[in-house]
Amino acid sequence: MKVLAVYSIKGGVGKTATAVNLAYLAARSGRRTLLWDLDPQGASSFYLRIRPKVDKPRKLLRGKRPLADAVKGSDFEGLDMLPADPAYRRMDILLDEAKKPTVQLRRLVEQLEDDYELLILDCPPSLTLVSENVFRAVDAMLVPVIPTPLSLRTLHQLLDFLAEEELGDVPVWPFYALADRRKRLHQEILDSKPDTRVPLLSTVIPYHSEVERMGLHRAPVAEYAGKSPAATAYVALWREVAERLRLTEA
Amino acid sequence: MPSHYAFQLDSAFDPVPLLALLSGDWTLAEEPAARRRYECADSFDWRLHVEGLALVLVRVGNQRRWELTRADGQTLAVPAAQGLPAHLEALPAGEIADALADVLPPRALLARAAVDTRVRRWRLMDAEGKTVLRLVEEEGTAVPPEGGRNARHALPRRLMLQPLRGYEDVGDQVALHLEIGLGATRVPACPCAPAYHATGVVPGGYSSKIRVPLVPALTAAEAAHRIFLHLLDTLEANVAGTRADRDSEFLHDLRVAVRRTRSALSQIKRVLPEDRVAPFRERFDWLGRVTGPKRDLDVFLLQFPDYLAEVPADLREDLEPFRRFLLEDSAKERAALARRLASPHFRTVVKEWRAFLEAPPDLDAAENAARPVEAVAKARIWRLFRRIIAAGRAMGESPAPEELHELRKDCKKLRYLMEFFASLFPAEALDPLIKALKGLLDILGEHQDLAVQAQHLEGFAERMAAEGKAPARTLLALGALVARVMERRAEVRTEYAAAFAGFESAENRAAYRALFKPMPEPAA
Repeated sequence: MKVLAVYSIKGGVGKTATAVNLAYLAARSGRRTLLWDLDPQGASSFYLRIRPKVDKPRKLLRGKRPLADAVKGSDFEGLDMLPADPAYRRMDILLDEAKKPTVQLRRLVEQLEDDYELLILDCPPSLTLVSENVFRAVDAMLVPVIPTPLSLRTLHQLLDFLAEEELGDVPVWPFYALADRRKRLHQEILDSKPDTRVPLLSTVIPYHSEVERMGLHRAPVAEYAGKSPAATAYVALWREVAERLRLTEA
Repeated sequence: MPSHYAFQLDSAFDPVPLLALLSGDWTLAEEPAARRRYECADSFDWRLHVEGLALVLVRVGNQRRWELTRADGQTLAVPAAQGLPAHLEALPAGEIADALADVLPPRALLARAAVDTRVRRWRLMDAEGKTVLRLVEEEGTAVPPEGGRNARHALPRRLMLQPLRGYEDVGDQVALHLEIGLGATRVPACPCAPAYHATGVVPGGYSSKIRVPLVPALTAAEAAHRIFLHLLDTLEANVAGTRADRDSEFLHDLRVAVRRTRSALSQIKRVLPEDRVAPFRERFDWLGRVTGPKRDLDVFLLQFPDYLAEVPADLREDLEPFRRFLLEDSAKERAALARRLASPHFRTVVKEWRAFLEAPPDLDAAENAARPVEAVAKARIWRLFRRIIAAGRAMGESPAPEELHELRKDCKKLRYLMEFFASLFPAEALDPLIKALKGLLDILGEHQDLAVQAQHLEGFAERMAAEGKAPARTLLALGALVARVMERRAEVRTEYAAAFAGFESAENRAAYRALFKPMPEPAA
């Protein structure tokens, strides 16, 4: 099982939309996929019509209750979900109760090794013990970056943090998201190829109102607007990610 | 994976009565129709079926997945990278491959039947519009593995419930409504059993074991015809798989059928007309000879992993040129063998032998032909047993290798005779005797096989050297291997004396006497 985190220090960068759309496309390509909504706001649970509520979340995070018990099937074949829970607001504290708090998440996801080929973690925006757990559990981190100086700066902050924590070998795959070519700033950054320290993926996810409508349809973009530029871009992003994870079509 | 429910339907599924039975706010949404193909996979000798496993390759659009149903009804699924036929190595690592690892090798998975279906699908949604159950109606036709369009057989229409994780209770509830409220009949979710039934395929219908039903009053000639026909059926069943080299066991089983036929031709004496049978003796000897080289190579390739463990760690890599050499040689021998099995000569042997065996036996052709088979079988087995005991005693505790080889040949003949005529004797009396004989045969067989292996290894080394395909270190590794094989042979030899002593024990002899010693026939 490959573990992929969709992560950003900063919120509002299209993280959840990326996690949900990639999880959906992975399942559609025949990979048994699990999406774990770690964000207490529960946005990806909402998108998939699954209640952001887990029985005994504390026991779950401490490994006293199998993760599999909390799994819910989504509306899409091959895609299951571990929903969020409001208790995840205190996830730092819950993880800290474990013996080796920084690797607790990695220990937990090992339970699902045989059940899924891909686990996608939709992570809360922050730089905390939760993030550190994520960094130590993943095969790669997918980082959406809006083409703005501020967003690029948070990417640098993340890379600095990883270097400091001797996690510099965790693959970080940034890509541009919510790119709006009508905005001059976006256009300039897209054209100028600023120093990102690690190479950007070649796919750019454009800003598109269809993505915002995910909350209305409560489904991935490709389900209701398969021909839209956003849907096409997510397909391209999934191809790129699948290739890098060696999960290309069976 | 949640367990799936399946129901047989008499007519097209109508969602309205089902919805009426469900209390609460539910909707059923129909999805676009689709096609699905199932290929039921098993080895030629039904190893999965015997273990209560059912493996299906499911194709939906351009996606394929393996689905394994275990004896406890639990299903596992994994994407498939390739179709059938397939060896274990072709399955992705994981639970399915693990479940087959002790069951399947060295056999390959073959498509034993296929089902093409038209699929209608619905989603059952709760009040919030969340899908909680999938319903799938299938209308299919079964196709035999080699069948064309004319060989299609319609299968009963089925409705399957596919519960979602975390919503299993809805599936249980709907299943109950279908069963009790609407009177639907529950059937197994795996489509293979009805497919086999419709196409006339009998799961477990092939076994390399000898199964010839005989009764004591049958004449010896009739019994002989039946035994030979059974062996010929086995031989012919394995020809196509041997030619295509689907796996190593087709040729193995074919050769065993040939060897048993040759043994029977020499051991079932004065029962068939000698002038008719003599030419077949030569023909089956020929078949034994021409199938040998490929089998030898198969054995070396199958044993290769063990060989790696036998040589010092720093020489293991150096055996790789040897493996490549075996593979190249095996490809050549495979082609040669395929040509022989397609030759007019081979076809004539099979055809004429079958014609002879299917004709009524000539009861005047030989002195034992019309005697009851039981008397002939007993006399033959008893005589051979006594010969083995006498020969073994004469050889003493440290016999020469050639003597052991001769003893092995006789023991094997004895085993075949007991197996040919097994149905004439009570299993509880016969089985322990065959088992004890196998114990002795294993030691004699291994002793001989190891000698042959050492000889072959030396032969391969010489050929590789002559063809410039053997680096010095590879020759060293092969030398180390030969030394190990000979050591092992010396070890096996020390086990012989005790094994023969057990076979020769008073208890074993008494058991043979009780079962096989013929009553004196009334004087004429």
